[in-house]
Amino acid sequence: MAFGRKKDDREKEQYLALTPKTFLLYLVIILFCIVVISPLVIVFSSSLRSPDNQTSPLALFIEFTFASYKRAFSNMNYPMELLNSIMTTGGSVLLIVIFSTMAAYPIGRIKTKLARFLYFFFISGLIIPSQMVIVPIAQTLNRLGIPNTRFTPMIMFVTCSLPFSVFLFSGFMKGVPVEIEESAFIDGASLGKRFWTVVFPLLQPAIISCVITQGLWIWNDYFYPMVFISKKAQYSLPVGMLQFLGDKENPAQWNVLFAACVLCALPLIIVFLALQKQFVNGIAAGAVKG
Amino acid sequence: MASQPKKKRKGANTSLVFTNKMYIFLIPALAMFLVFWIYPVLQLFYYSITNFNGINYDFDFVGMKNYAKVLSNGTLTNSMKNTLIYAVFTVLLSNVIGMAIAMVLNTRIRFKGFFRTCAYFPALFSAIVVGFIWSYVYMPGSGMIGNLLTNIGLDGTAFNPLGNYKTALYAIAIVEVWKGFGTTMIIYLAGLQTVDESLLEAGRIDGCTEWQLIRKIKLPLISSTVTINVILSVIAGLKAFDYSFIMTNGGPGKSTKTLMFQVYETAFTDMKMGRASAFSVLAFAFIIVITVLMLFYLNKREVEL
Amino acid sequence: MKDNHLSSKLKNNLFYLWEDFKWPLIAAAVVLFVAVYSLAAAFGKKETVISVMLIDCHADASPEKMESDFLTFLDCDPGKQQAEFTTSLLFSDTDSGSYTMTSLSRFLADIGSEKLDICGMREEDFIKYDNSETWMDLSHLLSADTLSALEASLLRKDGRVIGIYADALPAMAEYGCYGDGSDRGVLGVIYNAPHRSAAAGYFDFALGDA
Repeated sequence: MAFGRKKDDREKEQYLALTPKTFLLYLVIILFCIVVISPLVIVFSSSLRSPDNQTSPLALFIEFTFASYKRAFSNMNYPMELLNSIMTTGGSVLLIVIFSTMAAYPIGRIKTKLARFLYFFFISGLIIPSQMVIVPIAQTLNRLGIPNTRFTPMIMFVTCSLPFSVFLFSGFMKGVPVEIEESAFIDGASLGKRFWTVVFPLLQPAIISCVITQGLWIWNDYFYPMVFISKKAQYSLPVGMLQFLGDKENPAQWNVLFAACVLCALPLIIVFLALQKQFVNGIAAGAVKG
Repeated sequence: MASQPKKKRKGANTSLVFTNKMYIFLIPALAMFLVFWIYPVLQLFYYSITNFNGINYDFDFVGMKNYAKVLSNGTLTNSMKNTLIYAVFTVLLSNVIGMAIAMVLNTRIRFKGFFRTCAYFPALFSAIVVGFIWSYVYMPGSGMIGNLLTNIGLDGTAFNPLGNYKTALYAIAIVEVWKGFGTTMIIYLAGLQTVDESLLEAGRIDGCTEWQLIRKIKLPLISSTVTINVILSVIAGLKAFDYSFIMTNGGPGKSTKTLMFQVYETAFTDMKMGRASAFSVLAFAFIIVITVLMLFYLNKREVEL
Repeated sequence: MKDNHLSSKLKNNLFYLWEDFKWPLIAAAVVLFVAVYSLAAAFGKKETVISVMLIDCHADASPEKMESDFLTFLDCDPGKQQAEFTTSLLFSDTDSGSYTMTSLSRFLADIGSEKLDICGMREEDFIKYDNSETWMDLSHLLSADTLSALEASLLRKDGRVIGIYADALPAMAEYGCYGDGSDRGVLGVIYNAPHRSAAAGYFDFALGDA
């Protein structure tokens, strides 16, 4: 237990004093945020219009109604899709973190040719895009008798994320000092205990960045769910959202699509805002080094 | 406790703490990776020497014909050039911006949480919607930027980045950076958190300027993070195709056809799965050569720094 | 007394086991759950009688209605058998090329894993995807009666009957499939269709009780 998470005992954070230099810093970052956010204003303003308001989305905030949201909410079967999305994203991210930290452990620690090879072997998986191998993948799943359920895309989410995550964690593994682990070894801790109680907690900053990046990707991905899910009740949010996409005969109801898009991103935004403090503290608490 | 050290092969694992028993940890990841990724990829290699069309499994071997065709018809060089430009542009931009913002957000600035959320807001939205919004940003004349230009007295109608074959590639690269730099920033932020404050304190006492602190202390300490980010964005840039599909459909001309765009077009639109497989094997080789070279270079620098 | 001591020791051990290994234990639980769920789905799976994919169809009716209609026609037990209808895929000129690409991937993946029986799409695409005999020759599959009833609306290529125009099938009109637009919809059977007799039955169903 001596290697458990340290309590965050820093004194209350002191902010930078407002000097001309820091003022410039604030100015730069505020300007930057405006540039970043401004395209998204189009989404919000359009989503607040009625579904058949066809004026250009660039005329901002000309109408305030939740009609598009209502239609998106009911046509999407939002609660069910939300639940599906939460289950697949949560489950996948958890498995990704566990499997890839485990895999990164020998790869990052053992200094042999084999470990080096495995490192490049995993990285090479980053390079082939999934669309190209989707047919062999579908055949493999079929041969293994894995049916199309709401969890089938999870298998592919975890697999596709492994190269990235193993690469990320084995990089961060270098920053975790070996000395702590050596002393745990001398104390007689077993390999499993050494990993889960010493190394794993110290990887926290990398785990948080892995969860954020992979979670975002999986939450928004519609490729695997569209290929592997047949039933409407099993759709995840992005697939439900894309049902509002039209084609040349039925042009997309963009206002509804935008509303659906906001509804789709909303859980992420809420999670981000709610966990903001924990993210900051978590990242800081995980900081070791030195 | 430890067994008698036997005579071991050169290059074998001799560490007492990090024994080969650790490879057990690899099992779940490796099993999934082999079954659901490597095996399908090997099938792709197999398709590349056949005339498979994606639908009919009654196909014939054609040997290296597909490779010869891909190498001779000029699509490879064009898309390779586009991809390289695209990758260099996105890698530089997203890493410079990502690192700069991460460094600012790592200082004791107020409203850190708010700014951080702003920075990865774009990443929360799906690529299809992002592509659509940006077509309004880029729209000539009345688009967001066009309007802005008109308002400050410039000719907004002449601004048409997606319609011009010289600028279209950069225009979609900017969209990619806009959507992606948040991810880069998060990883830099995680790296910067591991930098020990006392080292910076010591540097300040020694009279280092802020720039020297960054250059001499922070950068070397986060060098493995830099490696991770650069490699990841290089790979992402080299296999990019999303915005070519969503915003320009490869045009104008062939100016935004990237490697992967070309692969998909060959596979799905032209129904030449065999040739597309050969194409993607070549693309794979191309990307892996660049990545490995960069990895060796960056790892060497990591050690030097 | 001794018992008490033992149980508290066990409790302690369990506590430490949980403290030390909670993450791998949770992960194992998730894996187990997904495995059991998939197994249950694989064994408790209803028998699929047919799999139909209508691309670019803009149906007004839901896939669920199409399924129940056809199951009633075949006198199937909806508790044990199912029909898969996919109507959300788009090939032609969507606002997003990547949605087309995903739809195509789905189409190819279902053919590759030998799941798809009937597929409908716009005439232009239908003819395009016929290179190297994607579509089964319907003159061997359908009964002579059905063929003669449809005589005027068969799509022929190189002496084979590869498809049936959707506007000749009253069921398609009833569902609002392929009703709009200049390009007509065509339905065909994939060469490696696993449920051939059901596919033939579907055309009888779609023709109505004429």
